[in-house]
Amino acid sequence: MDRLHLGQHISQQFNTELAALTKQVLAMGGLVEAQLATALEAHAARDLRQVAHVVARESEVNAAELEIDARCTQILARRQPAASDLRLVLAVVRMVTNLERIGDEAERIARIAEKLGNGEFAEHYGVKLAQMGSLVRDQLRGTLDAFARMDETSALDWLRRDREVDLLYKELTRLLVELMQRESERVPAALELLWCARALERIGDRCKNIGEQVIYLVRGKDVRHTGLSRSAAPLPDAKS
Amino acid sequence: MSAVEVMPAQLLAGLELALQARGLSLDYADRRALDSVHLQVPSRRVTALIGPSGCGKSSLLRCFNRLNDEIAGCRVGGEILLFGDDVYAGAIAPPELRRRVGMVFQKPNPFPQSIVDNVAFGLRLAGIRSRLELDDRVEAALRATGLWHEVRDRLAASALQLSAGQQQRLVIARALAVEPEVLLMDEPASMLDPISTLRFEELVVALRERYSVLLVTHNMQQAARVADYTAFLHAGRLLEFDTTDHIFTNPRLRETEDYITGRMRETPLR
Amino acid sequence: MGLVLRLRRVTRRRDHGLWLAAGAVGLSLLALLVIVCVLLRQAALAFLPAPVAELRWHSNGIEQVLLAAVVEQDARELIVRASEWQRRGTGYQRIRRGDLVSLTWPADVMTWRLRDGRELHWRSAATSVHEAYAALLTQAPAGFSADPAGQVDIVAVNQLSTAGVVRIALQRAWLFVCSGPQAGAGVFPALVGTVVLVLLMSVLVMPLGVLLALWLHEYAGGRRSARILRAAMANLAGVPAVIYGLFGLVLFVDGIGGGLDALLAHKTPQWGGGGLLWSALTLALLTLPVVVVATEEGLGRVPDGLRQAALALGATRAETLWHVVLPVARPALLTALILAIARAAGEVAPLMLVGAVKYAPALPVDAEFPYLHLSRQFMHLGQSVYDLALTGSDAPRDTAQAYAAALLLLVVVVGLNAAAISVRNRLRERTRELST
Repeated sequence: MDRLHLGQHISQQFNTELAALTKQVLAMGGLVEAQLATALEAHAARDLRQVAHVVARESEVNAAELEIDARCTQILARRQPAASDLRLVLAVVRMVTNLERIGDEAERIARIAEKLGNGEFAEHYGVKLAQMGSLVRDQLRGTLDAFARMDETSALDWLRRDREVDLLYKELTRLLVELMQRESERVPAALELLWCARALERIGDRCKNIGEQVIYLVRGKDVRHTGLSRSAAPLPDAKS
Repeated sequence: MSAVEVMPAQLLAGLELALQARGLSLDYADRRALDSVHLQVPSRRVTALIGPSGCGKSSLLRCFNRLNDEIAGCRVGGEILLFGDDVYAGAIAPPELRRRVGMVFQKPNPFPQSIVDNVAFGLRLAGIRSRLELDDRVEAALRATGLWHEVRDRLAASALQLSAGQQQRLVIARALAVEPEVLLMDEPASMLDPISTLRFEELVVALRERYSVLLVTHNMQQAARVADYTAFLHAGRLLEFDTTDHIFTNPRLRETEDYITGRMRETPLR
Repeated sequence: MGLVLRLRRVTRRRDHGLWLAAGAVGLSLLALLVIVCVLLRQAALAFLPAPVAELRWHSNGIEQVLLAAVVEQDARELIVRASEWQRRGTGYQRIRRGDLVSLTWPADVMTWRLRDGRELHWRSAATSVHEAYAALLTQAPAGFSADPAGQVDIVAVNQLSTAGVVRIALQRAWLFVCSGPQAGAGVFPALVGTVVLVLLMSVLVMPLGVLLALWLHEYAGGRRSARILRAAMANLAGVPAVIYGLFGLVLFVDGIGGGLDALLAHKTPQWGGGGLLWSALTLALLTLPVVVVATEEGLGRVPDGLRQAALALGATRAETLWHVVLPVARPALLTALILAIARAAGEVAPLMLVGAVKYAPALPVDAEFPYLHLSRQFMHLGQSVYDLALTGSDAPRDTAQAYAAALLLLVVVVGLNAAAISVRNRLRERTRELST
């Protein structure tokens, strides 16, 4: 946590506020992570009670987003943070937005599971989807972990692994399109699956955004829209 | 520490430099105040000097108009250039230098004279005797600081009757009246109330149209608000110089970061 | 009522420091009051017309009659002052109470105080000065003569009302202040001498002292020479005044004055004797430490920010001092001047050695070129006090006049100080905001 020396301000109050802020973000992350895990389980096991669980969590996530936003506003107004403190607050604001969206996607996945009900599906697609789901889950966990440790290299790693998710998504899309061409009566179910895959792919993107914020926070470099995730280059301009 | 290390290459490329310190060191009788400082102050920009108390900010500022000369046992090493002229080489006599490099102090220090005499002080020293010209230039200086409308009806009143904020602006007008090229400001707003401070900052930003301003401040928000460039001074060394945006969002050095975010440890780093 | 309330509040506060301070202030005020009262009382004796008694007594079996003022009396004898027909101070007589036959206060006694200080008593019921004078001539011993022209101070002394007594006393006091010693015991030359001396001293000591203080405070810094000079000043302040007199005698009178005379080939010493200039210089030396210390302190109180502001505007050191520091320090300069005047005006001992004399034939200032005569000897109130009190030929009256001269000296000192203080206060008013 303390690569940024967040706990070393002369003002103890400020230290506490920043510590509380990061803790809250991580708690919200945990919430979203659990939501995603539950949604994926619901998918795999077709367990409708789990779905209700995911949906119920949604309001908690929203409340957390609002509270963290309010905290950030307060810190900005009262502390006028600079440099790493400023970046932390900005990164947190952006991160919670992404987290909240991830929560929304998880909810969508859960609802799709509900719609699909007990319909038959070839192992094949289910496995691919589960693979993608676990990849995205790992990505989310890894990114949040990178934030918790302020570890920008690990964040960069997870950022780059988003490509795997994208590849899987493309493959799944292709398979599903083929399926739809072959068996027109399964088009609705296939479409639901496609939506699900799309949601996972979006979660991956959101995780990427969060990873970028971790890098911004630690390095002070805004790496959005720089194609960093597609290149293999190391992070520029190492901090002394 | 060379100029290249403290600031990004090409940072001031294409800008005229008002002041340059090259390998500047300053020793008081009992201690070293500045150690090989390389600082470049671009023309018609506001440059802020920040750093913890006792880091040598004021000392550095006073090198530029040789006010340190007045302190016994004070020795200056290295070079200072004012638009390319070596300040310590003897080509410019201190009074002449100080006419080209004005200064504003922490505590508003108007002379116990009338408002108009205060502003005309430097002009009279410069040998201007014509009543008409004096009046014109006094008015111009007072207008430049936004004080004209507040004091035009009581120019003959004692300057000490003005509020602290007005006094500080009067003092700036007094410095501006002699039309300096550079304006040094030593924590000029630290004695002012918040409203006066804002008005003062507004003035500083307006001044960069015509003057090069070097501003020492303890108030980092103030530096962030008014300065184009910010230099961080610590324990007599210039550690970092960059655009204000950079310094306040992503400084290169841990020391800078610690200072501007309020994490400065009590003991100096080195 | 307000005072009572305030007093009650003060007593309730039980602040011992306050009590001690109030005590000290009270004591000083009391001492001052006592001094002024004593001076006033004793000085009044010199001017109040004394009632005149007619005394009859037996001396060697012969009855004597005398008109005289009773100067002193006790259980055994009386000391009286009869008419001074010849010279001042010759009318005193001692009469034993045992010999005294009668002592009456006849209403028709006339008293005349002449300009030379003599007092004559005679009996006359006349209403005009001329008739009274004619009566005087009949009663005066042979060979007496005096010119009554313009002499209004012929009064029926035992018939005076209180207002009359006060009027006469004031008249005499005025005469005392405005006349010279050649016409009785006037102190006018001494008054002029004192004032001129103090002014001349101020003119000499202020520039020198201020320049010294400027050098010490603004230029010398912690230099060795400055430390030595400061130590010297501190020590000089403690040297007894008479030593300065000796110093002035040796350096100014004999050294420079004698040298000048030799140089200008004067046959009679003109500069080589005591004189106004040498006295003023001696006093200037005497007060120099006071001026330097007070001025330096004042310079120290000029905010450094003002100096820096002036320097930062391109003023040279000298311009800074002249345009900024000195104007701000003006009140301090006046304080220095006040202290110097207070010290100098009361100083007598050194002056006796370098120029003040008991009797000077001419004033140091007159209408004759060059108006101010620096080499002239002069009279001084302090010297007059000394002379009157210790070397007078007419002890009771001279002592009283010594008190009067002392009172006058006090008035002069207070007046000079008051003038300087009022100027200073006006200046302070102007720079008051500066200290905040």
